[in-house]
Amino acid sequence: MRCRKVRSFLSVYCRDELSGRRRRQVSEHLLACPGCRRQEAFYRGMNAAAPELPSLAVSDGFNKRLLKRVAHERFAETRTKAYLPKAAPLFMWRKVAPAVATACVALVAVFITLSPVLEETTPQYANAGSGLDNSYLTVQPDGNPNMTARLKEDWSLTDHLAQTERISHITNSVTPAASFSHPDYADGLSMLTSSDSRPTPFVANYFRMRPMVRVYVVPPSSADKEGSNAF
Amino acid sequence: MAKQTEKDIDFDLIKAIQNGDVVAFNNMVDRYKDRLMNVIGRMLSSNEEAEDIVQETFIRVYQHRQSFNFQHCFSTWIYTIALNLARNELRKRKKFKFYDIFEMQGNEAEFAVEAKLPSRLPQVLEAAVKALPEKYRTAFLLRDVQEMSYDEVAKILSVPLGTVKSRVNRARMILREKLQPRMEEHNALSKGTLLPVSLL
Repeated sequence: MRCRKVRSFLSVYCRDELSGRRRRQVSEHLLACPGCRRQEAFYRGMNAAAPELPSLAVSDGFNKRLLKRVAHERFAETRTKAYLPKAAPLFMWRKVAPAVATACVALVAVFITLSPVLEETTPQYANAGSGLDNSYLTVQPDGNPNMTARLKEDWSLTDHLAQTERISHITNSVTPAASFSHPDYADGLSMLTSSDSRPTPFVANYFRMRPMVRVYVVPPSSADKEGSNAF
Repeated sequence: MAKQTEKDIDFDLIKAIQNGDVVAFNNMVDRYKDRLMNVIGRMLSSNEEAEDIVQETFIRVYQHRQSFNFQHCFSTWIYTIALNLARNELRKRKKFKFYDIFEMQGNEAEFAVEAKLPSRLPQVLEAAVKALPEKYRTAFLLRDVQEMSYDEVAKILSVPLGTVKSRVNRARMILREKLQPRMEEHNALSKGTLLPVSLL
């Protein structure tokens, strides 16, 4: 074994911390090498001196100062754990439950008491389908606050009412003298007849309208035909 | 009746401390204050600061006495606390450098002593140990000065066993490199006789 390697093991060797085989190798080397022996002597001296380093001691009154601080800690602990009241929980269900139940019962009672009054004050809308009043078909939403509120929410109803009004206007305008071949009415009338089979988007819209309006056109008589020719 | 080991004595004391026995705490302080002071004092090189750290260590032990794990040694626990506090102190020192006028005066005196030839090895070794890098110094102090086992040192420093062995060996080699030339010079001056260094 070379000196370099032996010297790397020397400090451990001097502490008897080396394994058997390597320890024997180092011992054999030391017998023949004075340089390594010198280092060995140094390590042994250092090992002996290390526990004898000058002892450092705490100053007088160390225990007293420390126990004073410990007493302070003990006082702080008792303050936090024993003397201070326990923190109340934010929500105690047992205490709150009766109040919540009472409030619920009171609310139900108030609702039951006031429900007839509420019903009476409900606005009466036009009674559709009764046959007594069909003004809702042509009514304008401007003068009726209930309708205005409703119509603002539902644009499609507005659209339908407007379309219904247009149809009503056209229907009123149609006279038996009117001709299907008249350029001003041809499209409108053909749109309104159920027999019209043209698949236009207007027809689809028409069938989705509520209420449905049907227009029955009386075929023109021969006198009318003559008149129409004159027209 | 079997003799109580150091570990058993520590466990009895810590149990009593957990039950609020202040006398047991005082006994514990007496058992460990000098041991801790010998390590921390050599890490910080100022006795006042070291004493503060030792005191703080005992306060931490008292504060966290209920969380002590009886599966480990009490000595490992208390040394770990003390070394962590000392390391924090050293870290603070790196950020802020403090100059103490009394310390500077003391250093001058120390240099004057060191300028002379070493009269005894322990004093020289003391100065050389303080000059070691922190990680080697801690391992050396715990293993060679406090004479703890490698396993215990590894637990205290939270490093693998092999790392502890390597650090201790490296510390010894650094000390030899520093001290041996001076020793040999001293030997040469003392008429060339190679005295055992332990007798210097």
